[in-house]
Amino acid sequence: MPGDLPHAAPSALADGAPADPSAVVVAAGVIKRYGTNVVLDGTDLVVRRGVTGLLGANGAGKTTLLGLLLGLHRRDGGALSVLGADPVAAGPEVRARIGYSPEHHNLPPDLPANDFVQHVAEVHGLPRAEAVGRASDALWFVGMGEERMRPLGTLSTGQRQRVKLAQAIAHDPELVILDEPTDGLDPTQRETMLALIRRLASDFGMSVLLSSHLLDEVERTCSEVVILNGGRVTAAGGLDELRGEGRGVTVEVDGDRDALVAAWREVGLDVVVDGPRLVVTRGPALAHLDQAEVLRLVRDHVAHLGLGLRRLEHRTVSLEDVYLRVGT
Amino acid sequence: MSGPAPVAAATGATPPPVLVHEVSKWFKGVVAVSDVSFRIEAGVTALLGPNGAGKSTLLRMLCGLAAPDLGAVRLFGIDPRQDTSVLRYVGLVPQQEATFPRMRAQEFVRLAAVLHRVESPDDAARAALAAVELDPDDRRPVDTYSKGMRQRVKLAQALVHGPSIIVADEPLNGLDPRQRVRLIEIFQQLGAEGRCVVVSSHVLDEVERFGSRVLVVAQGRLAAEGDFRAIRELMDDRPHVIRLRSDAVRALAAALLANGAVSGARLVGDDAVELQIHDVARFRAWVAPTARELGAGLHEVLPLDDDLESVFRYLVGAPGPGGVS
Amino acid sequence: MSAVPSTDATGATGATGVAAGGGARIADRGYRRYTGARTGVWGAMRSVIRSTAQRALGIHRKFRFKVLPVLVIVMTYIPALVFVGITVLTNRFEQQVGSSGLDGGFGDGPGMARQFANQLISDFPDYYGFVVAAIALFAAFVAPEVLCTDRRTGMLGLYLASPLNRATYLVAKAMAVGMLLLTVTLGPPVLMLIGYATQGYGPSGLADWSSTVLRIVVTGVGIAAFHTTISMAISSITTRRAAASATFTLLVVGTGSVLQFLVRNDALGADWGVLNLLTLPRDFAYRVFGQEPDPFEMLGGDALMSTPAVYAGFAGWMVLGLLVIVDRYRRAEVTK
Repeated sequence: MPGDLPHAAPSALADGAPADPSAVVVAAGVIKRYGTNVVLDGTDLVVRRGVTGLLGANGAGKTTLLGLLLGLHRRDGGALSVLGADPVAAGPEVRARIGYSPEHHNLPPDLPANDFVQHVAEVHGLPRAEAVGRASDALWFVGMGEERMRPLGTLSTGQRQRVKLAQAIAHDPELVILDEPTDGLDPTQRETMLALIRRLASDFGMSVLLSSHLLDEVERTCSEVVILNGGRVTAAGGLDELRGEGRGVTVEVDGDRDALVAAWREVGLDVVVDGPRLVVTRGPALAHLDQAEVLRLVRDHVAHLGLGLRRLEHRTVSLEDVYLRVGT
Repeated sequence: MSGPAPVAAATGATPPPVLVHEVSKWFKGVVAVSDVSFRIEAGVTALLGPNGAGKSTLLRMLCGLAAPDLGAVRLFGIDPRQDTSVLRYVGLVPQQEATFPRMRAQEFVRLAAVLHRVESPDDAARAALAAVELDPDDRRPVDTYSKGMRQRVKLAQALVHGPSIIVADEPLNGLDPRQRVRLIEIFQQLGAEGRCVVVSSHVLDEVERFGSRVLVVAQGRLAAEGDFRAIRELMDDRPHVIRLRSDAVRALAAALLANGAVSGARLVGDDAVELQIHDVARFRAWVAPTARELGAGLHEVLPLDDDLESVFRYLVGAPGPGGVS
Repeated sequence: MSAVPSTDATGATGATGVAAGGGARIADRGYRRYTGARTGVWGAMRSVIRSTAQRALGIHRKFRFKVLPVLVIVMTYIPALVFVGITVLTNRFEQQVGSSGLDGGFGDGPGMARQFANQLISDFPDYYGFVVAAIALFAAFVAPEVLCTDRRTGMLGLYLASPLNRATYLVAKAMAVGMLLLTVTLGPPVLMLIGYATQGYGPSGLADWSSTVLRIVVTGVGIAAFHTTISMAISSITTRRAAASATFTLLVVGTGSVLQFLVRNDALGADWGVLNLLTLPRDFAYRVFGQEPDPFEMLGGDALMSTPAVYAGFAGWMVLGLLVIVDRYRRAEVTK
């Protein structure tokens, strides 16, 4: 595996049963071929409770992986367990506990939203009377009020995305798989949708697998991330773990920057100027100082020179940096 | 890059690539765009706005696909509805999924070149495909391409005649993170070449990367235009929200409240406070000295609403993510 | 966990319906977890069958979607009603003639009326000759409506992401289509049987009754299954309803006219008639009732097919249809 990024080790899957009880999905060495094309080439991953982001280039195998999790195709090798069972052998039982929202926006146009959600809930195993009530609750949860009576063909993108989420959760699944749930939404609508997704995990204890191309969104919503590239998992783990510790701080000031930079360098700090930002790290002379003392130096010189402090933050590695690094 | 000889206005000044003047448009009594005026110069400008706010209508008017009911749209001083030849200088990357025929990419883009009467359509098509990092010699038909590749073919078609105005509606849709970064670079390059690039997008943290010039449309009206940081500075009726982290955060917050630099404080966790600040210049001047005086370590001073997302939210009137509003 | 947490005015938390004094309660409603019973695969199939049947009949849809199904169903019942009506009228006539003592001048009054009626009404296999076109028409639009739209709208993907899989989904659809077709392949003959029986034209004796009922059921179910498989097969090939309906209709009418022409003109042997989708159901019906069609009554006067050929052809078409359905659905892309 490239780099020295933390990588989730799959638990032993001799008989398909996960050793880690909090894992909802465990894959070990999964292989899937279409003809001569090897789409998944030894995929190992563990999805736990909470919201997990699934990232990967187009063609890296995400869609195929989702298909395998739903038991729609047979794998050609390796072991896969979803909610404790083999998704192909125990397909109906497993899928009864999964909610799925596809990427496409293609829905039956003349069916009212309410009837649609109710039908999907029934098909997932809810008795008719329960399905009616739960469909209604799910639609309210996602913010659909009177629009629920309208045919799906007359709804806007935002409303349609919400209906797709509602049909995924109406039958109270344990695992919810969402493929690009914010596609087409404006920034405000996106934030609302992401907040709903977070609530599924935090308030209702569901495990959510969020497949997305928007790294910023994954950073804001997911606690864990899996990066798929070329049919293999090239990085996986908690967000903080993956991003690691950045080094130093970023500072923005008003006023005589050059004087500040000079003063800092004089006391042994290394300063790099990056546009309006100053990236400050301790120099070799200050290797014995701890972080608090370095910050004190930073602060004191800003105060001494009477400069306005606009920004001071620890440098972090962004998810994008991680992604681009491992996605070769 | 090609452009028309700009039609000199009466004052002799060169007209801008895109000029929208007091434009209104309505559909069956519903107003889509209301009294919007702006100009767009070379470089990359992002067009932002909630769904249904009139963005698509404006984009269509920019490309001459629709006419304003009131006001004027001028490209290089020319009305695209009157003189459609100016559309030769416009490249449109539409949002909708077009039907892709059973043609190879090179043929498909070449067709666009021919329709635009480009001189050497083969070379132009190859160059356009190379610019979007697609293989001109790929023999597979475009209707078998993935969404990301189809997106790039659409862009190649829009670029093949070397337009000086490029209008792109959600051009990064369906692209994976690496493809997005690449395409943003391509757009930046086009802007740097002096073309006028208008991009409509909902992914604000990427829009920041395209460039800082934005046009924000909300409820059919122009809500703001310009550098979004400058826009934020103009919004002085909105208090700034800044998060402070310190090992003595309560004392520091109290001192800042006492010396008037801050008008509101909300504690978050053990070591952080979200401050509401009306006089941000005063706060910036006071924060380091106050901390030094108290001996409080300053671990973080982070503006929470300076990003494009927050500016956007303020402009369209949406509720914030919680906390200090 | 079945209680919904609520808080009353005193701040005490209790289960729904329990007010711990104070007189106020905040009930916590809305989306929540579900711990009740789940219906499994069979429940899912039932739901699909019900929604499919409703959709085909235009229930919960605009009026115009009800017109065609109702019209066609009525068309298939009319001959049955007419025949039963004839028997009722002739019986009444006989009673009147008998009671008034007139014999109509024919000498054997009541018998003549009965013979007259027997000439007019048809028996069960003949019935299919009358309505075979209407049954085919019904099949032409039901299967496309219920199969093509699911593939067109992405519903198939959602179904396959549920406890259903391709097999159970298709079985549920086939059951729905089959049941709808039974209303026109089995309903009218049953109606006729009951009508005839009450008017004295029915079977006599237990053996006759059981064999008649059995034959009616076999024919009704067989013809329903025949049209179900073939129309579903054609609907698996295209996602456009109109194209599927048109193709099915053309196939039926086309094989009907072409084969009829070829066989009549001796270009092909009689057994090739099994390719004639229009008349094969009728021929099947005759064979089940142990009869051969009267040459004068057959459409266009076709030559006779041998009985084994009829059964083999009937089954063969269904097998072909099943193979097409299975093949097309195995390949359908569903996670896009």
